[in-house]
Amino acid sequence: MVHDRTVVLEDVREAALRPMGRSGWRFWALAGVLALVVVVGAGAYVYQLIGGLGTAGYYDRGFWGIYEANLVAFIGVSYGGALVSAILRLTQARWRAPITRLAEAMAVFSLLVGAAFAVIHLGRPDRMWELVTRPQASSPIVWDFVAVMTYLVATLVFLSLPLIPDVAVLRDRFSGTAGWRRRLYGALSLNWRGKPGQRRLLEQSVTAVAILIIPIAVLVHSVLSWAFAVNSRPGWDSTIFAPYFVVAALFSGVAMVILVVAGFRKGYHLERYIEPKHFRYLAFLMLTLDLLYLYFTFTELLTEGYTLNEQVTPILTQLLAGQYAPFFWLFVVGAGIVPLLLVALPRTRTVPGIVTASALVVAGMWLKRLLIVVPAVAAPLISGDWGSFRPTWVALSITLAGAAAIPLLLMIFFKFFPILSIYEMEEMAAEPVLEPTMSEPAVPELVTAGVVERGIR
Amino acid sequence: MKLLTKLAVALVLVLGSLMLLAETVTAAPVQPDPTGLSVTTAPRLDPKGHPMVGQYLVVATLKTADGTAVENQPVSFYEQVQFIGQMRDALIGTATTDSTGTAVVAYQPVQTGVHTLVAHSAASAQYAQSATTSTLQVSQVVSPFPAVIEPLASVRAALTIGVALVVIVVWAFLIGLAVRAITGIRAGSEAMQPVE
Amino acid sequence: MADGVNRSVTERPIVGPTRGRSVLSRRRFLGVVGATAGTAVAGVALAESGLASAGATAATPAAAHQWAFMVDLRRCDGCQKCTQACQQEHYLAKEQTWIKVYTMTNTDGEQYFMPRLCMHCQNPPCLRVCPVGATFKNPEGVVLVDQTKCIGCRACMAACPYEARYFNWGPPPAAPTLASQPMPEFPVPQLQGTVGKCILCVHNTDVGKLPACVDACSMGALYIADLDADAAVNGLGETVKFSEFLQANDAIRYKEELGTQPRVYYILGHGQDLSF
Repeated sequence: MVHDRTVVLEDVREAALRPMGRSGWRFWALAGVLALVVVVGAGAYVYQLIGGLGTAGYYDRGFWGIYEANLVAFIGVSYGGALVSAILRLTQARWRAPITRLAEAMAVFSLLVGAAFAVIHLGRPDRMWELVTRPQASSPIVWDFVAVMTYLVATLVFLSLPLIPDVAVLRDRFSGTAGWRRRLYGALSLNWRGKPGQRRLLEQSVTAVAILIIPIAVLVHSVLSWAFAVNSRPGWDSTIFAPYFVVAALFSGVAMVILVVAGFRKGYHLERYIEPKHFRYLAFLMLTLDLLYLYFTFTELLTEGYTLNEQVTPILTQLLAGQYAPFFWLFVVGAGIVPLLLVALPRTRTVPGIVTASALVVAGMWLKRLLIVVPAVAAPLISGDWGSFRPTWVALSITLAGAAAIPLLLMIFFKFFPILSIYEMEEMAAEPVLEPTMSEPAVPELVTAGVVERGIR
Repeated sequence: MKLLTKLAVALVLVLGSLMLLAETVTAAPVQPDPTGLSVTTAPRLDPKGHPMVGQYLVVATLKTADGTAVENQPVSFYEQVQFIGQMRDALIGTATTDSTGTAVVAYQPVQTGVHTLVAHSAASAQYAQSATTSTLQVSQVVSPFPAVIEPLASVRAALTIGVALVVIVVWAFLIGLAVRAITGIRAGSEAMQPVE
Repeated sequence: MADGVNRSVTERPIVGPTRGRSVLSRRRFLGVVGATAGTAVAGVALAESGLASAGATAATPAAAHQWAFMVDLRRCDGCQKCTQACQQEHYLAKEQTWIKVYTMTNTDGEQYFMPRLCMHCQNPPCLRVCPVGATFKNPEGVVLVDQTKCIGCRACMAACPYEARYFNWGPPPAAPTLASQPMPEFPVPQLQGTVGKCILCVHNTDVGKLPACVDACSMGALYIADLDADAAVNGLGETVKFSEFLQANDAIRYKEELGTQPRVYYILGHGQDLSF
């Protein structure tokens, strides 16, 4: 929706640009710690390149493990961006405005980290270019490559387009000064003047990408699942993997959005714009996806296990009552039941409660991806002992580096770009509010600090 | 003294000749009967009596020198084949001769041309070994091995092309959209007219 | 060529080749159609060839052999000389058991031994999932790995239902200086970060020698076979007509129901059931 009326919300702009100013010691301390974790992980990766993947704990009976789970998990959490930005945009949920920038940026960076794990798990990453020079159309790995590249381009476009007007704001801020900032923002802003024609073109483009990104996102995780499901290996030879993985991604993605939004809201004091209602709405989405994911898990296990055939039964036995059982039930309770209760019960449906639930979900879903990868690999196909996967310090430090890289990259990103989508928030404010039931106006000036802090129960 | 040595010599001579006699008596076995093996090939017939394409019967007949059929003797049949660096006799099968001295195996060659077949009956206490060869000209073969199947090949081909087209279209759309937005916004600061 | 309207009006023949703009446009039209059709055909051919290289199993007629293998389970005593011989021949690390002898239990509870090597499937799952075509089937039906192309993704290890593939997780054992460079037919020494597996000793069979495992098996349980010559020979020199031997001894192929079309046959003994 484009209107002739434009609104300038100075306080929104000030809040959005707050991270770009001088940061306190807490920022630098946190950035330092995260950077340290990333550097240690990078060093571990060099060690792995020299010594081979065996240094990460891999061996012939555990040929896929933590890196492959990370690949799925990190690409999975990036779906939160697609959900918040694209789906909420298309359903015209106005409350999304303060969190779209955080969600979209998180989507890009977690996707990049996930794609990095696709490289990290290769035995010969120096030959990666062969995926472009001699791809084999029948390989699910090639499908993964094409799908992830497509999704990356789409996500980048989706982040960049609404960024243009925000960059124009920055250009105007720095117009008086000399220096690289003025030149950078001047170039990136693409002559944005807020003209109606430009706004219309932007809206059209963003809506088009929003429509396109949904099937792309669905396909990306479907294709990722097929790297497992096209094999005859018991435990993977399941027809439900594609929607199963997509729901998993959406579920963990919403939880990740909640975590990221909560963290940056706290760090940059954005409570005025990101209210408990945002957390509640996201939490309801997470609740729905939680139920959906538990349903898919149950369906998958039931249909696989009902015939009690020789191939799958050993895996199910280990998963439900054997060596993997503690992890499986920890997941079900910790990431399935507890977050569900935390969100469903009004007593615990507070910001801290919701953030706790989300943290449990993100961690639990990562564990669940491990439970999808490892047992099917470890199960003997002929006879003999089960394999195992014991990650070494190399694998763990690289995994932690990937997890640390996301908040670090976000912190760096918001040093250069606004943390709130100024354009979208001002567009919301300019729009006449049509439905009287939306009693909480999007114009933040009317919301006083006191109302926000109380937390509506 | 002379008498003692004479007696000893006589004893040695007697014992020696006795031993020699014993040896010649026990060492001479009963010579096994020499046997003759002949082999022919014939097309194999199905139960209705029609010849089965590419299938043959190899018939070996074992007889003694005077023409008596030898019964109950195992006969091994081989096919001469050049394999892993040398000419080898590949065992086709073993059959036991019946009352007419005939042993039969089925034979399904895999290549056209001349095949050399060998039949061999091993030596036993009664009968000597014998062997014979025969050649067979084969013009038609039926492979005994399962043919390689490529299931759903046309579906796979169509799917590949279809998916490739979809991917190209999506990329073209994304890039085109981005280019259009960038150029349009850049140009739009003066040229665009307000609509609505 | 035509040079305008006038000529075409005055010289329009009733039969025979026309001249003028109509000819140009028809030729141009035919040219466009031809070019489109040609591109389409080329595109389809390209895609088909891409698919063909990705998974087609057509054997080219020029191959001199079609290698296969047979394991006589009645004879295997689990001594693992085959494993050792293979590892010695190819300078393998101890964990890389390209031929591995499993201890199995049959339905009566008795133990027996099953050597397992790469099945050299004619519809190999490993070949289909390889993203860069490093795994390929040579014209003689042997599935090989080009370790100079392998990117080490291990999708083939995930796809193989026989656990027949091994990975170089670290620096491989050094081979003393060999005259040859490592190549798919003799991948010695192995390359770190790539996949290796049984190559059916094509480097031996092509020069009239037995595979290392076949040669080493003192029980004569392992046979190398050629479908073209229809012969199989074991380490004891016993040569058999392959198809007859398989038929006479009710040979089966392992996990055949997966559609892999393996080239390795097993002769059952010791009362194994078929679902092993």
